Amino acid sequence: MSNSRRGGKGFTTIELLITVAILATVAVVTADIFASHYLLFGSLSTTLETERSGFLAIENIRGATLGARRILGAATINGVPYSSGTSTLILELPAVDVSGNLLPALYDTVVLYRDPTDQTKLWTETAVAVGSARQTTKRLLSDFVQDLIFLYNNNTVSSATQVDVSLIVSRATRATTPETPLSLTIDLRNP
Amino acid sequence: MFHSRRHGASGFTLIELLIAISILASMFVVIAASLKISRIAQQSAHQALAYGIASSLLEATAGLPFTELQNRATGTPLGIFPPHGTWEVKTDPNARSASNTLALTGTSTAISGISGALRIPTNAFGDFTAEAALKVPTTAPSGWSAGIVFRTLDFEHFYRYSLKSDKLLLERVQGATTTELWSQPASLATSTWYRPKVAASGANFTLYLNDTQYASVSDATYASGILAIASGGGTLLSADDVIVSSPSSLSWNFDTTNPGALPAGWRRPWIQDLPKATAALTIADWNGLSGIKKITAQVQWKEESGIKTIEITTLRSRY
Repeated sequence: MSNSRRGGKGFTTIELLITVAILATVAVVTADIFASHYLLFGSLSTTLETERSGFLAIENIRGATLGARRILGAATINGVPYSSGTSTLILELPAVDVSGNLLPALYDTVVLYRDPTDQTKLWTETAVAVGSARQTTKRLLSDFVQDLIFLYNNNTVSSATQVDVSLIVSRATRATTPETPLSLTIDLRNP
Repeated sequence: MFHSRRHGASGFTLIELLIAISILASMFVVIAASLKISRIAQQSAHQALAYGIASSLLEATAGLPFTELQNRATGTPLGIFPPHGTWEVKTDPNARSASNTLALTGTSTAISGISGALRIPTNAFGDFTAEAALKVPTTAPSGWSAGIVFRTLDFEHFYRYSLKSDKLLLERVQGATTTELWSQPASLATSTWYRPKVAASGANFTLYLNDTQYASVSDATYASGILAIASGGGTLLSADDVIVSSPSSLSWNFDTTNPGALPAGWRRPWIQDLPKATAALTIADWNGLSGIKKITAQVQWKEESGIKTIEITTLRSRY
Protein backbone atom coordinates (compact mmCIF):
# COMPACT_ATOMS: atom_id res chain seq x y z
CA MET A 1 0.00 0.00 0.00
CA SER A 2 1.24 3.42 -0.93
CA ASN A 3 2.12 5.71 1.94
CA SER A 4 2.45 8.80 -0.24
CA ARG A 5 -1.14 9.65 -0.99
CA ARG A 6 -4.47 9.07 0.62
CA GLY A 7 -7.38 8.38 -1.72
CA GLY A 8 -5.23 9.46 -4.74
CA LYS A 9 -5.67 13.19 -4.06
CA GLY A 10 -3.12 15.90 -3.25
CA PHE A 11 0.65 15.72 -2.69
CA THR A 12 2.69 14.82 0.30
CA THR A 13 5.00 17.45 1.77
CA ILE A 14 8.04 15.64 0.44
CA GLU A 15 6.63 15.54 -3.11
CA LEU A 16 5.83 19.21 -2.93
CA LEU A 17 9.32 19.99 -1.69
CA ILE A 18 10.91 17.91 -4.45
CA THR A 19 8.72 19.60 -7.08
CA VAL A 20 9.64 23.06 -5.75
CA ALA A 21 13.32 22.08 -5.70
CA ILE A 22 13.17 20.81 -9.30
CA LEU A 23 11.36 23.93 -10.47
CA ALA A 24 13.86 26.13 -8.63
CA THR A 25 16.75 24.25 -10.21
CA VAL A 26 15.18 24.53 -13.66
CA ALA A 27 14.59 28.26 -13.10
CA VAL A 28 18.15 28.85 -11.93
CA VAL A 29 19.67 26.89 -14.80
CA THR A 30 17.43 28.58 -17.37
CA ALA A 31 18.20 32.00 -15.93
CA ASP A 32 21.89 31.15 -16.00
CA ILE A 33 21.65 30.11 -19.64
CA PHE A 34 19.97 33.37 -20.54
CA ALA A 35 22.41 35.40 -18.46
CA SER A 36 25.38 33.64 -20.07
CA HIS A 37 23.83 34.09 -23.46
CA TYR A 38 23.23 37.77 -22.74
CA LEU A 39 26.84 38.22 -21.62
CA LEU A 40 28.23 36.29 -24.56
CA PHE A 41 26.02 38.11 -27.01
CA GLY A 42 27.06 41.44 -25.47
CA SER A 43 30.70 40.48 -25.63
CA LEU A 44 30.46 39.27 -29.22
CA SER A 45 28.51 42.26 -30.46
CA THR A 46 31.05 44.55 -28.77
CA THR A 47 33.88 42.67 -30.42
CA LEU A 48 32.19 42.78 -33.82
CA GLU A 49 31.37 46.46 -33.46
CA THR A 50 34.96 47.25 -32.46
CA GLU A 51 36.33 45.21 -35.34
CA ARG A 52 33.99 46.86 -37.79
CA SER A 53 35.05 50.31 -36.65
CA GLY A 54 38.70 49.30 -37.07
CA PHE A 55 38.10 47.89 -40.57
CA LEU A 56 36.16 51.01 -41.52
CA ALA A 57 38.91 53.27 -40.22
CA ILE A 58 41.73 51.45 -41.99
CA GLU A 59 39.74 51.22 -45.23
CA ASN A 60 39.03 54.95 -45.08
CA ILE A 61 42.72 55.66 -44.56
CA ARG A 62 43.59 53.30 -47.41
CA GLY A 63 40.95 54.85 -49.68
CA ALA A 64 42.03 58.40 -48.94
CA THR A 65 45.70 57.68 -49.42
CA LEU A 66 45.28 55.65 -52.59
CA GLY A 67 43.80 58.68 -54.28
CA ALA A 68 46.18 61.14 -52.65
CA ARG A 69 48.71 63.24 -54.51
CA ARG A 70 50.90 64.12 -51.57
CA ILE A 71 51.14 64.60 -47.84
CA LEU A 72 50.75 68.12 -46.57
CA GLY A 73 52.82 69.25 -43.60
CA ALA A 74 50.09 71.59 -42.43
CA ALA A 75 46.70 72.81 -43.60
CA THR A 76 43.67 74.65 -42.35
CA ILE A 77 40.61 72.56 -42.97
CA ASN A 78 37.17 73.98 -42.41
CA GLY A 79 38.72 76.73 -40.29
CA VAL A 80 40.80 74.44 -38.08
CA PRO A 81 44.62 74.31 -38.44
CA TYR A 82 46.19 70.83 -38.53
CA SER A 83 49.79 69.59 -38.81
CA SER A 84 50.79 66.14 -40.06
CA GLY A 85 52.54 64.10 -37.39
CA THR A 86 52.31 60.85 -35.47
CA SER A 87 48.59 61.26 -34.78
CA THR A 88 47.52 63.39 -37.75
CA LEU A 89 47.81 62.80 -41.48
CA ILE A 90 46.87 65.46 -44.03
CA LEU A 91 46.52 64.45 -47.65
CA GLU A 92 45.98 66.41 -50.81
CA LEU A 93 43.75 64.74 -53.40
CA PRO A 94 43.11 65.80 -56.98
CA ALA A 95 39.60 67.26 -57.21
CA VAL A 96 37.18 65.55 -59.58
CA ASP A 97 33.79 66.74 -60.83
CA VAL A 98 30.57 64.74 -60.71
CA SER A 99 31.43 63.14 -64.04
CA GLY A 100 34.71 61.89 -62.68
CA ASN A 101 36.85 64.36 -64.65
CA LEU A 102 39.92 65.83 -62.99
CA LEU A 103 39.65 69.53 -62.20
CA PRO A 104 42.99 71.01 -63.27
CA ALA A 105 45.12 72.46 -60.45
CA LEU A 106 42.33 72.03 -57.93
CA TYR A 107 42.73 69.85 -54.87
CA ASP A 108 40.64 68.57 -52.02
CA THR A 109 42.19 68.14 -48.60
CA VAL A 110 41.56 65.28 -46.21
CA VAL A 111 42.77 65.11 -42.64
CA LEU A 112 42.73 61.96 -40.52
CA TYR A 113 43.42 62.65 -36.88
CA ARG A 114 43.17 61.23 -33.42
CA ASP A 115 41.03 63.47 -31.25
CA PRO A 116 43.41 65.28 -28.87
CA THR A 117 40.72 65.57 -26.19
CA ASP A 118 39.36 62.04 -26.53
CA GLN A 119 42.13 59.74 -27.72
CA THR A 120 39.70 56.91 -28.43
CA LYS A 121 38.24 58.81 -31.38
CA LEU A 122 39.58 58.87 -34.93
CA TRP A 123 38.10 61.55 -37.18
CA THR A 124 38.31 62.38 -40.84
CA GLU A 125 37.50 65.76 -42.21
CA THR A 126 37.40 66.87 -45.83
CA ALA A 127 37.64 70.34 -47.34
CA VAL A 128 36.83 70.47 -51.04
CA ALA A 129 37.71 72.69 -53.97
CA VAL A 130 35.00 74.56 -55.86
CA GLY A 131 33.29 72.18 -58.30
CA SER A 132 34.58 69.04 -56.60
CA ALA A 133 32.25 66.09 -56.39
CA ARG A 134 33.47 65.32 -52.87
CA GLN A 135 31.51 66.64 -49.94
CA THR A 136 32.79 68.82 -47.14
CA THR A 137 32.42 66.40 -44.26
CA LYS A 138 33.55 65.54 -40.80
CA ARG A 139 33.09 61.89 -39.88
CA LEU A 140 33.91 59.72 -36.93
CA LEU A 141 35.79 56.67 -38.19
CA SER A 142 36.24 54.92 -34.88
CA ASP A 143 35.68 55.65 -31.23
CA PHE A 144 37.56 52.60 -29.99
CA VAL A 145 41.14 53.66 -30.76
CA GLN A 146 43.68 52.20 -28.37
CA ASP A 147 46.78 53.08 -30.33
CA LEU A 148 47.36 54.92 -33.60
CA ILE A 149 50.58 56.13 -35.11
CA PHE A 150 51.55 57.51 -38.48
CA LEU A 151 55.29 57.15 -39.20
CA TYR A 152 56.87 58.71 -42.28
CA ASN A 153 59.93 57.83 -44.31
CA ASN A 154 61.10 61.42 -44.16
CA ASN A 155 61.32 63.61 -41.09
CA THR A 156 60.12 66.49 -43.26
CA VAL A 157 56.67 65.04 -43.48
CA SER A 158 55.66 66.97 -46.59
CA SER A 159 58.56 65.25 -48.42
CA ALA A 160 57.62 61.76 -47.27
CA THR A 161 56.69 59.16 -49.86
CA GLN A 162 55.76 56.35 -47.49
CA VAL A 163 53.57 56.27 -44.42
CA ASP A 164 53.31 53.38 -41.99
CA VAL A 165 49.99 53.27 -40.21
CA SER A 166 49.50 51.17 -37.10
CA LEU A 167 46.00 51.10 -35.66
CA ILE A 168 44.79 49.09 -32.70
CA VAL A 169 41.15 49.28 -31.73
CA SER A 170 39.77 47.78 -28.55
CA ARG A 171 36.82 48.05 -26.24
CA ALA A 172 36.29 46.47 -22.86
CA THR A 173 33.49 43.99 -22.40
CA ARG A 174 32.48 42.61 -19.02
CA ALA A 175 34.73 39.64 -19.50
CA THR A 176 37.67 40.79 -21.65
CA THR A 177 39.12 43.65 -23.66
CA PRO A 178 39.44 42.21 -27.15
CA GLU A 179 41.64 44.17 -29.50
CA THR A 180 41.95 44.28 -33.25
CA PRO A 181 45.40 45.20 -34.58
CA LEU A 182 45.55 46.58 -38.10
CA SER A 183 48.36 48.01 -40.17
CA LEU A 184 48.93 49.63 -43.49
CA THR A 185 51.87 50.92 -45.50
CA ILE A 186 51.08 53.56 -48.06
CA ASP A 187 53.29 54.70 -50.88
CA LEU A 188 52.73 58.17 -52.32
CA ARG A 189 54.18 59.81 -55.36
CA ASN A 190 54.51 63.13 -53.52
CA PRO A 191 55.74 65.30 -56.42
CA MET B 1 -2.53 0.44 -3.38
CA PHE B 2 0.82 1.04 -5.10
CA HIS B 3 2.46 4.33 -6.06
CA SER B 4 1.90 4.96 -9.78
CA ARG B 5 5.19 6.91 -10.51
CA ARG B 6 8.05 5.35 -8.67
CA HIS B 7 8.98 2.17 -7.00
CA GLY B 8 11.00 2.77 -3.88
CA ALA B 9 11.23 6.56 -4.64
CA SER B 10 14.26 6.13 -6.96
CA GLY B 11 14.94 7.21 -10.66
CA PHE B 12 13.39 10.05 -12.74
CA THR B 13 10.07 10.49 -14.40
CA LEU B 14 9.93 10.90 -18.14
CA ILE B 15 9.06 14.58 -17.83
CA GLU B 16 12.05 15.22 -15.55
CA LEU B 17 14.34 13.50 -18.01
CA LEU B 18 12.93 15.50 -20.92
CA ILE B 19 13.42 18.75 -19.01
CA ALA B 20 17.01 17.82 -18.17
CA ILE B 21 17.75 16.91 -21.79
CA SER B 22 16.17 20.16 -23.00
CA ILE B 23 18.29 22.20 -20.58
CA LEU B 24 21.47 20.45 -21.66
CA ALA B 25 20.55 20.81 -25.34
CA SER B 26 19.83 24.54 -24.91
CA MET B 27 23.12 25.05 -23.14
CA PHE B 28 24.94 23.16 -25.87
CA VAL B 29 23.25 25.14 -28.64
CA VAL B 30 23.96 28.49 -26.95
CA ILE B 31 27.60 27.67 -26.23
CA ALA B 32 28.20 26.19 -29.69
CA ALA B 33 26.62 29.19 -31.42
CA SER B 34 28.60 31.63 -29.31
CA LEU B 35 31.85 29.81 -29.96
CA LYS B 36 31.10 29.75 -33.67
CA ILE B 37 30.33 33.48 -33.79
CA SER B 38 33.41 34.20 -31.70
CA ARG B 39 35.55 32.18 -34.11
CA ILE B 40 34.07 33.92 -37.13
CA ALA B 41 34.75 37.31 -35.53
CA GLN B 42 38.32 36.33 -34.77
CA GLN B 43 38.87 34.98 -38.26
CA SER B 44 37.57 38.14 -39.88
CA ALA B 45 39.97 40.18 -37.71
CA HIS B 46 42.83 37.89 -38.74
CA GLN B 47 41.82 38.21 -42.38
CA ALA B 48 41.78 42.01 -42.19
CA LEU B 49 45.21 42.09 -40.57
CA ALA B 50 46.62 39.56 -43.06
CA TYR B 51 45.30 41.64 -45.94
CA GLY B 52 46.87 44.76 -44.40
CA ILE B 53 50.23 42.96 -44.10
CA ALA B 54 50.08 41.63 -47.67
CA SER B 55 49.14 45.01 -49.11
CA SER B 56 51.88 46.68 -47.02
CA LEU B 57 54.43 44.25 -48.48
CA LEU B 58 53.32 45.17 -51.99
CA GLU B 59 52.93 48.89 -51.33
CA ALA B 60 56.43 49.11 -49.92
CA THR B 61 57.87 47.97 -53.25
CA ALA B 62 56.01 50.65 -55.19
CA GLY B 63 58.46 53.35 -54.16
CA LEU B 64 61.58 51.33 -54.97
CA PRO B 65 63.47 51.80 -58.23
CA PHE B 66 62.93 48.97 -60.71
CA THR B 67 66.58 47.96 -60.36
CA GLU B 68 65.97 47.07 -56.71
CA LEU B 69 63.33 44.53 -57.70
CA GLN B 70 65.66 41.60 -58.08
CA ASN B 71 64.08 38.18 -58.43
CA ARG B 72 63.73 36.56 -55.05
CA ALA B 73 62.26 33.39 -53.73
CA THR B 74 63.41 34.01 -50.16
CA GLY B 75 60.35 36.03 -49.26
CA THR B 76 62.23 38.72 -47.32
CA PRO B 77 60.28 42.01 -47.32
CA LEU B 78 61.65 44.90 -49.38
CA GLY B 79 61.26 48.60 -48.61
CA ILE B 80 59.76 47.90 -45.18
CA PHE B 81 61.18 46.96 -41.80
CA PRO B 82 58.50 45.16 -39.80
CA PRO B 83 59.03 43.79 -36.28
CA HIS B 84 61.20 40.70 -36.14
CA GLY B 85 60.88 38.35 -33.19
CA THR B 86 58.57 38.69 -30.22
CA TRP B 87 58.85 41.86 -28.14
CA GLU B 88 57.14 42.91 -24.94
CA VAL B 89 57.71 44.99 -21.85
CA LYS B 90 58.87 42.94 -18.88
CA THR B 91 59.46 43.67 -15.26
CA ASP B 92 63.16 43.25 -14.55
CA PRO B 93 64.62 43.64 -11.05
CA ASN B 94 67.90 44.54 -12.76
CA ALA B 95 66.38 47.06 -15.16
CA ARG B 96 68.74 49.93 -15.85
CA SER B 97 66.02 52.30 -14.73
CA ALA B 98 63.47 50.55 -12.52
CA SER B 99 61.35 48.69 -13.07
CA ASN B 100 60.60 47.63 -16.66
CA THR B 101 62.57 46.85 -19.78
CA LEU B 102 61.68 46.22 -23.39
CA ALA B 103 62.50 42.57 -23.97
CA LEU B 104 62.98 40.39 -27.01
CA THR B 105 61.33 37.25 -25.65
CA GLY B 106 61.49 35.17 -28.82
CA THR B 107 63.86 35.28 -31.77
CA SER B 108 63.01 34.62 -35.41
CA THR B 109 64.98 33.06 -38.23
CA ALA B 110 67.92 35.37 -38.81
CA ILE B 111 67.74 37.73 -41.78
CA SER B 112 71.01 39.52 -42.58
CA GLY B 113 72.24 38.44 -39.16
CA ILE B 114 69.21 39.94 -37.36
CA SER B 115 67.50 37.55 -34.94
CA GLY B 116 65.20 40.17 -33.47
CA ALA B 117 64.52 43.81 -34.27
CA LEU B 118 62.01 46.46 -33.36
CA ARG B 119 61.67 49.87 -34.90
CA ILE B 120 62.02 52.87 -32.61
CA PRO B 121 58.78 54.75 -33.35
CA THR B 122 60.14 57.81 -35.10
CA ASN B 123 60.12 58.98 -38.67
CA ALA B 124 63.04 58.05 -40.89
CA PHE B 125 66.07 60.20 -40.12
CA GLY B 126 69.21 61.17 -41.97
CA ASP B 127 70.94 63.06 -39.17
CA PHE B 128 70.21 61.93 -35.64
CA THR B 129 71.62 61.01 -32.27
CA ALA B 130 70.25 57.86 -30.67
CA GLU B 131 71.22 55.59 -27.82
CA ALA B 132 69.81 52.63 -25.90
CA ALA B 133 70.86 50.61 -22.88
CA LEU B 134 71.17 46.98 -23.98
CA LYS B 135 71.78 43.73 -22.15
CA VAL B 136 71.91 40.12 -23.32
CA PRO B 137 71.11 37.29 -20.90
CA THR B 138 73.67 34.88 -19.48
CA THR B 139 72.11 32.21 -21.72
CA ALA B 140 73.11 34.11 -24.89
CA PRO B 141 74.82 31.93 -27.51
CA SER B 142 78.56 32.57 -27.92
CA GLY B 143 78.08 34.50 -31.18
CA TRP B 144 75.66 36.99 -29.65
CA SER B 145 75.37 40.56 -30.80
CA ALA B 146 73.22 43.49 -29.73
CA GLY B 147 73.03 46.95 -31.11
CA ILE B 148 71.35 49.71 -33.04
CA VAL B 149 70.51 49.49 -36.72
CA PHE B 150 70.10 52.83 -38.45
CA ARG B 151 69.35 54.44 -41.80
CA THR B 152 67.41 51.24 -42.31
CA LEU B 153 65.35 50.79 -45.46
CA ASP B 154 64.62 47.10 -45.01
CA PHE B 155 66.33 43.89 -43.92
CA GLU B 156 68.82 44.17 -46.77
CA HIS B 157 69.78 47.83 -46.58
CA PHE B 158 71.03 49.28 -43.29
CA TYR B 159 73.95 50.15 -41.03
CA ARG B 160 74.45 48.21 -37.81
CA TYR B 161 76.43 49.28 -34.75
CA SER B 162 76.89 46.03 -32.80
CA LEU B 163 78.27 45.00 -29.47
CA LYS B 164 79.71 41.50 -29.45
CA SER B 165 81.45 39.52 -26.75
CA ASP B 166 84.87 40.32 -28.28
CA LYS B 167 84.44 43.56 -30.22
CA LEU B 168 82.53 46.67 -31.20
CA LEU B 169 81.54 46.66 -34.84
CA LEU B 170 80.03 48.91 -37.50
CA GLU B 171 78.72 47.17 -40.59
CA ARG B 172 76.90 48.09 -43.76
CA VAL B 173 74.43 45.55 -45.09
CA GLN B 174 73.67 45.84 -48.79
CA GLY B 175 71.70 42.97 -50.23
CA ALA B 176 73.55 39.76 -49.48
CA THR B 177 76.81 41.63 -48.81
CA THR B 178 77.84 42.72 -45.33
CA THR B 179 80.80 45.09 -45.20
CA GLU B 180 82.72 45.79 -42.02
CA LEU B 181 83.27 49.57 -41.84
CA TRP B 182 85.02 49.61 -38.48
CA SER B 183 85.70 47.34 -35.53
CA GLN B 184 87.65 47.41 -32.31
CA PRO B 185 88.42 44.54 -29.92
CA ALA B 186 86.53 44.68 -26.65
CA SER B 187 85.56 42.32 -23.90
CA LEU B 188 81.85 42.54 -23.24
CA ALA B 189 79.93 40.39 -20.78
CA THR B 190 76.43 39.01 -20.74
CA SER B 191 73.94 40.20 -18.13
CA THR B 192 75.55 43.64 -18.13
CA TRP B 193 74.00 46.88 -19.30
CA TYR B 194 75.89 48.65 -22.11
CA ARG B 195 74.86 51.91 -23.70
CA PRO B 196 75.75 52.18 -27.41
CA LYS B 197 75.12 55.56 -29.00
CA VAL B 198 75.24 56.68 -32.63
CA ALA B 199 75.43 60.27 -33.86
CA ALA B 200 74.91 60.50 -37.62
CA SER B 201 75.55 63.65 -39.59
CA GLY B 202 75.69 63.42 -43.36
CA ALA B 203 78.11 60.64 -44.26
CA ASN B 204 79.78 60.71 -40.82
CA PHE B 205 78.92 58.42 -37.95
CA THR B 206 80.31 58.92 -34.46
CA LEU B 207 80.07 55.83 -32.27
CA TYR B 208 80.03 55.78 -28.49
CA LEU B 209 79.79 53.19 -25.78
CA ASN B 210 78.80 54.26 -22.28
CA ASP B 211 79.47 57.91 -23.24
CA THR B 212 83.03 57.22 -24.44
CA GLN B 213 83.66 57.99 -28.10
CA TYR B 214 85.20 55.02 -29.89
CA ALA B 215 85.14 55.91 -33.56
CA SER B 216 84.24 58.33 -36.29
CA VAL B 217 83.44 56.56 -39.53
CA SER B 218 82.36 57.81 -42.96
CA ASP B 219 80.12 56.09 -45.48
CA ALA B 220 77.65 57.66 -47.87
CA THR B 221 75.71 54.60 -49.05
CA TYR B 222 72.48 55.30 -47.19
CA ALA B 223 71.34 58.85 -46.57
CA SER B 224 68.26 58.21 -44.45
CA GLY B 225 66.22 55.47 -42.85
CA ILE B 226 64.57 54.27 -39.71
CA LEU B 227 66.13 53.37 -36.37
CA ALA B 228 65.73 50.04 -34.62
CA ILE B 229 67.06 47.97 -31.76
CA ALA B 230 68.36 44.64 -32.91
CA SER B 231 69.90 41.41 -31.72
CA GLY B 232 71.93 38.86 -33.64
CA GLY B 233 73.40 35.41 -33.19
CA GLY B 234 70.11 34.05 -31.89
CA THR B 235 70.23 35.88 -28.59
CA LEU B 236 67.40 37.36 -26.58
CA LEU B 237 67.83 40.97 -25.54
CA SER B 238 66.69 43.58 -23.04
CA ALA B 239 66.58 47.29 -23.79
CA ASP B 240 66.01 50.23 -21.50
CA ASP B 241 66.27 54.02 -21.59
CA VAL B 242 66.01 54.44 -25.33
CA ILE B 243 66.80 58.05 -26.18
CA VAL B 244 66.64 59.90 -29.48
CA SER B 245 68.07 63.31 -28.69
CA SER B 246 68.12 64.76 -32.19
CA PRO B 247 66.48 65.86 -34.44
CA SER B 248 63.55 65.29 -32.07
CA SER B 249 63.85 64.79 -28.34
CA LEU B 250 62.24 61.47 -27.47
CA SER B 251 62.84 58.91 -24.74
CA TRP B 252 61.32 55.72 -23.41
CA ASN B 253 62.02 53.90 -20.14
CA PHE B 254 59.04 51.50 -20.47
CA ASP B 255 58.18 51.88 -16.78
CA THR B 256 54.59 53.05 -17.29
CA THR B 257 53.76 50.24 -19.72
CA ASN B 258 52.04 47.14 -18.41
CA PRO B 259 54.22 44.01 -18.60
CA GLY B 260 53.25 41.89 -21.59
CA ALA B 261 52.34 44.90 -23.71
CA LEU B 262 54.29 47.40 -25.79
CA PRO B 263 54.31 51.17 -25.28
CA ALA B 264 52.11 53.33 -27.50
CA GLY B 265 53.60 53.62 -30.95
CA TRP B 266 56.01 50.69 -30.58
CA ARG B 267 53.49 48.11 -31.64
CA ARG B 268 53.35 47.54 -35.36
CA PRO B 269 50.64 44.97 -36.05
CA TRP B 270 52.35 42.29 -38.07
CA ILE B 271 52.50 38.49 -38.32
CA GLN B 272 53.19 38.17 -34.60
CA ASP B 273 49.53 39.16 -34.14
CA LEU B 274 48.38 36.20 -36.23
CA PRO B 275 48.54 32.55 -35.10
CA LYS B 276 51.60 30.76 -36.49
CA ALA B 277 51.90 33.16 -39.40
CA THR B 278 54.46 33.75 -42.13
CA ALA B 279 54.72 36.59 -44.61
CA ALA B 280 56.66 36.44 -47.84
CA LEU B 281 57.43 38.68 -50.77
CA THR B 282 58.53 36.98 -53.96
CA ILE B 283 59.62 38.58 -57.21
CA ALA B 284 59.95 36.81 -60.55
CA ASP B 285 60.13 37.70 -64.24
CA TRP B 286 56.66 37.79 -65.73
CA ASN B 287 56.28 35.40 -68.65
CA GLY B 288 60.06 35.25 -68.93
CA LEU B 289 60.36 39.01 -69.52
CA SER B 290 63.02 40.60 -67.33
CA GLY B 291 61.51 44.04 -67.96
CA ILE B 292 58.28 43.11 -66.20
CA LYS B 293 58.28 41.79 -62.66
CA LYS B 294 55.57 39.79 -61.02
CA ILE B 295 55.53 40.74 -57.34
CA THR B 296 53.60 38.51 -54.97
CA ALA B 297 52.89 39.10 -51.32
CA GLN B 298 51.65 36.12 -49.39
CA VAL B 299 50.52 35.85 -45.79
CA GLN B 300 49.72 32.47 -44.26
CA TRP B 301 48.38 31.76 -40.83
CA LYS B 302 46.74 28.93 -38.97
CA GLU B 303 43.12 28.81 -37.90
CA GLU B 304 41.39 25.88 -36.22
CA SER B 305 39.86 25.03 -39.58
CA GLY B 306 43.25 24.89 -41.28
CA ILE B 307 45.89 27.02 -42.97
CA LYS B 308 44.58 30.30 -44.40
CA THR B 309 46.35 32.20 -47.14
CA ILE B 310 46.02 35.68 -48.57
CA GLU B 311 48.00 36.35 -51.70
CA ILE B 312 48.15 39.59 -53.67
CA THR B 313 50.03 39.97 -56.90
CA THR B 314 50.97 42.97 -58.98
CA LEU B 315 53.05 43.57 -62.09
CA ARG B 316 55.69 46.26 -62.32
CA SER B 317 57.19 47.30 -65.62
CA ARG B 318 60.59 48.82 -66.22
CA TYR B 319 59.03 51.02 -68.89
